[in-house]
Amino acid sequence: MKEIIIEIGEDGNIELRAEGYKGKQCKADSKDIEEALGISDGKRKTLPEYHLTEVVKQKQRA
Amino acid sequence: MSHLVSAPLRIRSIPDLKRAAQALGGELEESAVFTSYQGENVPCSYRIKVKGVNYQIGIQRQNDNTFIMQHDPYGTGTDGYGRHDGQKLVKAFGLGLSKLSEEYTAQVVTTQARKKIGWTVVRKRLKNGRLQLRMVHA
Repeated sequence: MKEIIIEIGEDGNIELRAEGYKGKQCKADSKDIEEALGISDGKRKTLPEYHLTEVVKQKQRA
Repeated sequence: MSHLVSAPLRIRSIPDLKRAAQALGGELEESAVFTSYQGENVPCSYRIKVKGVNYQIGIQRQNDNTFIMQHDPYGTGTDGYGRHDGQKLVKAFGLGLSKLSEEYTAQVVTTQARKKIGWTVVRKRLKNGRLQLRMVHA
């Protein structure tokens, strides 16, 4: 199940996580929310699943 | 999980801030000044007032079109504080306006979810005190 999880701390810091995705669709789904919250230029960390689709495509081409 | 972003909240949507203020018993209106320690003369773009409270929250537009919120927590409005009742704002909107920041975030996320098809928002208070908003795609 695709989920975008937003947590806000008492210090006003926001953390957004996109879960249940394979590939870069997570970025498209969360883009509007990141912009609306003003966090689109925040610290960003991509995780292994983010690259999964591309890896599969590269293997198919080989 | 495929990506994670963290950053300080920045106010961008006045309609969402208005809904957040209403949810906590306040009213947002356009105003050039708000009431604080110095009186009703502190410059702002909008203000949030609460019925029966003298002090107000000022919302100031920044050069990048975001907004910052200002308030003075001074005074309880009793025991010689007179008109100074900033603690009533703290009670309504949280220390450092934390409750208002949370509610604003919830309103923004709900607004964005409504624009997308098939997404719902679930609110949850975590054990560590943080507010969690889960946008779930059915």
